[in-house]
Amino acid sequence: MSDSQEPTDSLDRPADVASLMRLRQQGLLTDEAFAAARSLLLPRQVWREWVSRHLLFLGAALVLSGILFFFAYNWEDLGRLGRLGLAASGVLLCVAGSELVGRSKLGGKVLVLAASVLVGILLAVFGQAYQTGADAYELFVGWAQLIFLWVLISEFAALWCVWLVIVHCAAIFYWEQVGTYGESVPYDVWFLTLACVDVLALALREVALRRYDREWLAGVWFQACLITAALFFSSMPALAWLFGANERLPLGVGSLLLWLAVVASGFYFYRYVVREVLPLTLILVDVCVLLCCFAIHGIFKNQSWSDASPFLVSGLIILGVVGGAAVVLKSLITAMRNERECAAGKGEAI
Amino acid sequence: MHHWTFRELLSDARVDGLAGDKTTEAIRACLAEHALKGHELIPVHILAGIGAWFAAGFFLVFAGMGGLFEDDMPPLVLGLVLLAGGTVASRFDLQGVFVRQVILAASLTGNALALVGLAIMSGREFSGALTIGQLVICAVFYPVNRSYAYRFLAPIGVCLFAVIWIFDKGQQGTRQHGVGWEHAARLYGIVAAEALLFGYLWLGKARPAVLQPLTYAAAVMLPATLLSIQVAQIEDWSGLIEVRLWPASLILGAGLLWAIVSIAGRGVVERSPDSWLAVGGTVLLSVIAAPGVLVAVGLLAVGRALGDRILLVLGYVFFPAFLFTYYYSLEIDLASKSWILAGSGLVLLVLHQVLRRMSAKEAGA
Repeated sequence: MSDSQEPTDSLDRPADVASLMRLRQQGLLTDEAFAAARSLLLPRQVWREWVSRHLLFLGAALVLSGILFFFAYNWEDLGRLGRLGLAASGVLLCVAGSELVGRSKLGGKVLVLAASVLVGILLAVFGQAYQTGADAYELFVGWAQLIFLWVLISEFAALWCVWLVIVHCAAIFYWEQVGTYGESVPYDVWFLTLACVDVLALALREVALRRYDREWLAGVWFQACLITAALFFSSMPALAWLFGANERLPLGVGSLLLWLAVVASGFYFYRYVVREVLPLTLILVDVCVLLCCFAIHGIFKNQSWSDASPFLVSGLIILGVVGGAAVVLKSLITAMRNERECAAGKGEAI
Repeated sequence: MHHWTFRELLSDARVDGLAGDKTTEAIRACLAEHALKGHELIPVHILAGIGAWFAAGFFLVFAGMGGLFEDDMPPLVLGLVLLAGGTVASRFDLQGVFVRQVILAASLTGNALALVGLAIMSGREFSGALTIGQLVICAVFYPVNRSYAYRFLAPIGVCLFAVIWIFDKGQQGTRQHGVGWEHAARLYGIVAAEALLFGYLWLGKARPAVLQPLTYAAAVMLPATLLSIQVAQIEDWSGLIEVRLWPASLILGAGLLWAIVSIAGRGVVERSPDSWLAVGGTVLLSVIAAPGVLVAVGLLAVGRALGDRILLVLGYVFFPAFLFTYYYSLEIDLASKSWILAGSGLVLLVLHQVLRRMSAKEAGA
C-alpha cells in the first residue's frame, strides 16, 4: 500500500480535528479559534454526509433488531402463515427497495444486508412454525447458501462480515450437533478449518484491496475482525494441546505448527510488506496469551492450588511476557515510522 | 472539498484573529512532537495496562491465599504502602514501558489490597465500604499518581462499586419491603451524574491535562453503568430490583441535546435547519428509544466533533453490546422491546431521509 510522502514541516501536514483538539489542550489554540478551525474542517456538507451515513446504519440495525425481537417473541395471534408472510414480504421489500435505490449506493447495500438478515429470520420462523426437526446448523448452512450470491455481488464489507459469521455458526453448530457424536470429527479439525477460512478471507481482502483497489474493503474494523478470528481459531487447538487436553500427537503438533505459520506469516506481512500497527498488536496479544497460559499451566501443573506462591510467580510471568511484548511493539512502531520517514525523504512510496 | 493543511487553516482569517498570541513555532513543535510519540503508541499503553491489570489480579490472590486477609490492618497497610510507592515512582519521568507497567501493577495491587482492608474493617456493608473506600483512595491518589492508566481506572472503579452497592441495597430492601423504587432512583441519579461529568469534561472549555484520563473514564462510565443495569436484570437480580429504563432515556436525551447545542454552537442552533432536525430527533428518541441508543449516538457525535477515535470506537462497540444485553434483560417483554427498537430505528431512518432531501434541494438550488 503506498503511503503518500510525508511533508517535513508539520505545519504542511493535512489538518485534522484531533490535532486541533491537542493544540487546544496545550493552550496553543483558544476555544474560539478551535471552534472556528473545526467549522472549516467539518463544514455542514461533511457533517451531513457523516450524520446521514450513521443514521442509515444505526436506523437499519435498530429496525432489524426490532424485527428479530418481534419474531423471537413468537406472537401466537399472528399464526404461522402470518409470520411467514411477514418475514417473506420483508425480504421482498428489501430486495425491491435495493433495486429501486440502486445496489451501488449505500442505501441499496444496506437494504441487501437487511434482506440477507431477514432470510435467516424467515428460515428460523419456518423451523419454528413447522417444527421440522432440523438441526440448527442446517439453518445456518441454508442461510449461507441462499444469500451467497447477494454477498458476492454486493461489494459491501458489512455483508461479507455477516456471511462469515453465519458460516462460522454453521461450522460450530455442526461440530456440536454432529461432529462430536461418536467423535467422528475432532474439534481441532473444525477450529483449524475455520482458521483457514479466516486466513483465506483475510488474504483475499488484502489482495483485493491492495492489488485491485477494492476500496470498499478498506475498513480497519473488517481487517481487525478477520485477524482476531484467524488468531482465535488457530490458537485454541494449539493451546489445548499445550494444556494436555488433546493427546493426539500429530494433530497437536500440526495445530502448533499451523498457529506458528499464521503468526509468523502475519507478522512478516504486516511488519515488512504493509507496515501496519493494529495487526501487529493483535498478533502480539495472541502470542502473549499463548505464552502466559502455557507458562502458568506449567507452574500450576506440579503445585497444589492451595499453595500461594504459584500466584505470585504467575503475576511476575504476566508482567514479564506482556511487558516484553509492549517493549517489542514500541520498538516496531518506532522502526516502522523511521522507515516511512526515510522513504519519504528519498521520495519513495512504501 | 478543500483539504486543509495546518498552515492554511491557522492563517485563515476566520481562525487567525482568534488563535491567541502563541507563536507558529510552538504550534509546529507541538504537532511534530505528537507525530513522534502520539496516538501511534496507544496500543503499547493499552497492552501494558492489560498486563498490569492481570498481574495485579494474581498478586491479590497471592496475598489472600498467603493469609493476609485474616485481619483488616495488614492488607490496608500493605496496600497503602504499595500504592504510595507506585505513586512516588510514577512521579519520576521514567520512559521505559516495562518499568511503567510494573509501577502500574504496584498501584493497582495496592489499591485493591487497601480496599479489601477497608471492606474487612467495615464488617457488614461490604459493597458500601468498597464504594466509599475507592472514592477516598481515588480522591487522594488521582491528583498525585501520574500513571495515566491508574487515573483512568480509579474513577471507573468508584462508579462500578457504586452501582454494585445500589443493587446490593436493592436486594436487601426487596427482601424486607418489596421492590423499592428508591434504588432505581439512585441508579438514575448515577446516570445523570455521569452524563453531567461527561458533558463538563468533553463539551465545555479545554480542561487541564491532569483531568484527561478522567475524561476517558467518564466516557466509559456511562455505557458501563447502563450495561451493568441491563446485565443485572438478566437473571440473578431479576424481580428483586425493578429498574425501568425510560427515566434514564429522558435524562440522556437532555444530555444529548446539550451535546448538540454545544457542538453546533448556540448561535448556530437557532438559525440552522440541520440543528433543529437534530434537536427534534433527539426529543423523539428520548421519548421512545432505549437509553443505550442515546448513549451510542452521543458518543459517536461527540467523537466525530472532536476527532476522537477512541470515543468513536467506544460508540461502535457499545451499540451491539447494548442490543445484545437488551435482548436478555427482563425489564420489559420482547414484544415491547421490539416496538421500541423498531420505532427508534424508524425515527433515525426518517431523519436520514429528511437530511438527504435537504441536501438534494440545496444542490438543486
